Amino acid sequence: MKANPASEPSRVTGRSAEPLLLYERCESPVQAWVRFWFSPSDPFALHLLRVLTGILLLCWLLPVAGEVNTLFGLRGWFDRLAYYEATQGELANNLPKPIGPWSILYPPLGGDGPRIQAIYWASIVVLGLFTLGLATRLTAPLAWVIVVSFTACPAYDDELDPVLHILSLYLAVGYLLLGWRRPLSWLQRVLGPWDTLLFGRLLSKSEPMPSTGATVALRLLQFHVVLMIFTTGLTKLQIGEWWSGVALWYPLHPALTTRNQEARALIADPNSYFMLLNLCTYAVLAWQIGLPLFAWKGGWWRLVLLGGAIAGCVGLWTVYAMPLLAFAWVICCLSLLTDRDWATVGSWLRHFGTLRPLAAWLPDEVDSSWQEPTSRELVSVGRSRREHS
Amino acid sequence: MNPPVARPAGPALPPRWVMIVGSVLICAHLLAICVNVLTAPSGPWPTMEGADMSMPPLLFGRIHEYYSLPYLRALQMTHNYHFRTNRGAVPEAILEAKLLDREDREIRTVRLPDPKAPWAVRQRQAALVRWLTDDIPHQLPMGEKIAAPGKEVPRIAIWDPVPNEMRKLTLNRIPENEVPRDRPMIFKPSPWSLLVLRAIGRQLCRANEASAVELTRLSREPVTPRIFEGREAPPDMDDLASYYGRFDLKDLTNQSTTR
Repeated sequence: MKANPASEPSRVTGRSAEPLLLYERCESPVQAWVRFWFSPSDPFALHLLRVLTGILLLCWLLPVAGEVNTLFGLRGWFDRLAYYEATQGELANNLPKPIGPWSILYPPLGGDGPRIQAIYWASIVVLGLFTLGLATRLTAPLAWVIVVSFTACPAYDDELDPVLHILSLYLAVGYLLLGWRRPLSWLQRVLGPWDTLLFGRLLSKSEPMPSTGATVALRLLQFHVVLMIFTTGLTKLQIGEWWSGVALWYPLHPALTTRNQEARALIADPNSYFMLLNLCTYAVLAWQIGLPLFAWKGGWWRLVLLGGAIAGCVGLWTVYAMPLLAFAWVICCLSLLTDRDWATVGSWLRHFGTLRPLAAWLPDEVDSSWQEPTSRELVSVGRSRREHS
Repeated sequence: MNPPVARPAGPALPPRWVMIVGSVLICAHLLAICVNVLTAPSGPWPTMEGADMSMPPLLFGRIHEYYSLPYLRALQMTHNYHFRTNRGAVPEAILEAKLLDREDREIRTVRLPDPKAPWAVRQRQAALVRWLTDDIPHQLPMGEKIAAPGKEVPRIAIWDPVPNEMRKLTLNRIPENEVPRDRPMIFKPSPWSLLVLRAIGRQLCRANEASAVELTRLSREPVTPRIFEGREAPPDMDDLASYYGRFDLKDLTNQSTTR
């Protein structure tokens, strides 16, 4: 005979859990809020985003190893005098990019010369540990500190910077909150649970523990990503080229490398070319402005989300020549996938012989009581309630 | 009584007080981010005085000033997601620096972004040089400025065309009253772009042991889709060469003369 689930001890606390009829209660706004923000979820997505973000951060920072002092030091491109001048007079209030109020690259810790080099290489080590999942309760917040510090200089306004801020901040929040309600040793309390280690999920014998911290971090990340993409979509509506559908022309034909005659000779059929360009431009606008409507929808909407992720990645890489931002774009879009989506991917992978080992990384069939109910399930609950009453 | 539910119970939620405190923190954080996005200036919009940026909504101004901005500054998340690449039709530039020794002999000429630099470094150099394209229109004063006793009329730096030279500009620092009024538009480099320019000049002098540097911006407007409107493409224009002038290292490093 099957035991009453309400009387079973909770996997998280070990105490006898009260019946958590979350999906039944989701009709109330308060319960919907609680379900959205606090229902525990499998930390798989958090770990995946950490690994991808770690690789991205290493790809972002490692290639400038030979120019650390020139790029970030106080005797480099933006030197001590430039910082001083930027804080004087009217200019101080009208900087196009505000000076970061703190950075580990500033004195007394940083400055220039060997100190900057030491901080740089220590940062690379921390990012490596973060990617591997070692001591995540320390390395995740440190990764955020590193990102903020290396983007604090007002002279470089890279579009990747705000995306890196978002990813690293919420991953830090997630790893700070992860595992507090689990019975861990004091060492794991300080450094973070061991099962965050890369491949730790495969080696671990126990079931992965759902975590409210992972949910909070992922929801914050999702909200911020959606707000960022929606805002940039709305901003495009202030610009004539987006209305006329030719905005993508300019990154496709950069000013310094394109001449009138060449551009004209290159395009044999301008009508077809501009129709395609119009379609792509409006598709970008529609996807970005419509994202809040389908970001949290399941079913076929996931294909729209992933289609936009792939198209955006290809576009950023090839059209805008921003490979790192393309990678960051994919990570942002993947953050919108839920446990249910990852479980679906896992069940697909199990059908393919060679890819089956990968499925072991993904969440199993999700314990649906802490997942968002589908609209069909909500209807069936409503119907059963009516019948019952 | 609740109806029967087919699903099993899931893992426990956090204690109620944790959820309440968490909800307050989440709301406060998201409010700060939303207010920061909403208070971004929009535009440029067409106005009677030409294109101008619109003021951010006053509704959120105070919240932004006293709550959102200090909080987000500490987190360094003040970006309002109005990305530069959203605007396509903007000029691109390279900076040409002729480095001179003490006898005014040319040491070498450097271009930024350096085509020989690694990709990641070149990207950052390009980000640095991009500021230099931010020329701003100069608003002519309605009246004439009268200098205080013993003082000079403030000077401003404006772009002037080089006589008998096509597509060449030079930066002239002239008294504000002598700004020509017969031109439809007068442009000047933004204060921020001049600050970045001086910083670049200092670094180039330091790195190459030069005592002076001559800086020239080579910029080009993007090709527009309008080239398909006529029967033939319009002729290509040369790069616009804007000469900033010669900067001595001792002047560049002197705080009183650099501004």
